[in-house]
Amino acid sequence: MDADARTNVPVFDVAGVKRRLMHDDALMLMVLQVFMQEMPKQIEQLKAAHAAADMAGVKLQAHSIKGACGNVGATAMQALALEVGITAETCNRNRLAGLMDEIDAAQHAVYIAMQKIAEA
Amino acid sequence: MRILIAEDELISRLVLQGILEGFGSINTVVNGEEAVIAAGMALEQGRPYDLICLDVMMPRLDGLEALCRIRALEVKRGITSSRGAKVVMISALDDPKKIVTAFKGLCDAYIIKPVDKAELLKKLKEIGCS
Repeated sequence: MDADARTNVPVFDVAGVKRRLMHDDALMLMVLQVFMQEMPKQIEQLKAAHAAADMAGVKLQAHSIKGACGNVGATAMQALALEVGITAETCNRNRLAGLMDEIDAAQHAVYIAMQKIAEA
Repeated sequence: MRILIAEDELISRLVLQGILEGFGSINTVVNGEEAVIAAGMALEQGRPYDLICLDVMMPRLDGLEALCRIRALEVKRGITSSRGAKVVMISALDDPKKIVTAFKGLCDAYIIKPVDKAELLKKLKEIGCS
């Protein structure tokens, strides 16, 4: 999925998370807070693996980020993490560098959307 | 009910814990190697896990290999898989080959991430863990 296709994916699918957790709002808020707290560390690990040209590390970390994003409905960032993992597998380093530049913006966008829900 | 959750990714682990907390006491581990050790210790102590949730893609030892080793530990103690721990494989990999491998390794159910509470509860009911 390229950047244009990813713009059609919602940043934060809150309705999907609520449905998957059977409207357990306490559990949802807890996982959103942990996600917002922990994701910067995971992104740092992803960037460190990329900087070290450790493609296996990039793939594993992208898989972790994809899983975390899927659980909290961060669907645009999940799609980006999926693309990072696939790109690492094909060792397309130019494309990977471009995706690394996108990940901070994706995280920022989902944080803003989640913050609104957490504060509501 | 004694439950073991083996999942390296924190958010998935918390979601599983949140869903299963009403079912019994929960231990968590973060890779397949730790899952095998925890299951082995529980068997040795005569207090085996009733339910084990195993992520497929984990560092050190993946969930499929961990499942095979856990079943081998049970067999060593004369426990057949039908009387052993109920094992639910959990993965983001919607891959039929992995599902077939998991069932050959004698898991009881398989769900795809992100975890859907209703689906997990339905599977638990089907395998007699509710």
